[in-house]
Amino acid sequence: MENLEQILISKDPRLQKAKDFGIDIVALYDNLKRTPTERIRRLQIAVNTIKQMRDNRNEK
Amino acid sequence: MQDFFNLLDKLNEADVDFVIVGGLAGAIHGCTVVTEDIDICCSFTAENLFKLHKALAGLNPVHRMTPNKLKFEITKQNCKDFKNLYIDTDLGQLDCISSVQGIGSFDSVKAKSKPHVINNKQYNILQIDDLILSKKAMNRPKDNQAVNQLEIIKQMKSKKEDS
Repeated sequence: MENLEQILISKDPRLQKAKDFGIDIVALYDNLKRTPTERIRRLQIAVNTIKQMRDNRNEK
Repeated sequence: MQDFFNLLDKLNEADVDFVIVGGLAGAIHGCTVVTEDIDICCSFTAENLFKLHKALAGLNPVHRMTPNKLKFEITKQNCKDFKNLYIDTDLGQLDCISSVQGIGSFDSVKAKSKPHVINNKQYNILQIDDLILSKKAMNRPKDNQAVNQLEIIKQMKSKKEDS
């Protein structure tokens, strides 16, 4: 079964270079379907999760 | 906790003249690199700094780079002393810069920005090409990662427009 990454690369072979470079092209593709507000909301969740984990580690 | 929306709201409500730059601008364009602060380029006129001060009132703003976390205050005496401001608040970090490397002063940055709607409000964001230019000019490892993503985002957007 072809995955989304392969489909994206077949449509735009230049993306292969990005993939080889370690860029998650599916994450970027999915993010572009979101509005700027949704992108910031997701970023905020990620940042606050990292901060929470740091705080928990420092409490130990 | 970092609260991007409320911090941006405060700036908006106080009518601060600014452009979102840096990592948050990258995230708005679609970058997945995590950034923990809000970077803005703003006018450092006394009027705008007083607006910034008003925006952050009640959020316990401090100069985060000072060892004793000096309280962030703008007065008639000190308003001409600042070039950049690195502030920590109850809603998270806010870095304010007067110019952007590779682009220039606030007026140049503003001319190269475009309005985007975030949480039903309009904000000026540095355009993707100029964000790439500024990150290339800084040439730090974390900027290089963002540049690579932003180049792909541009490619994906142009491909979408072609089809």
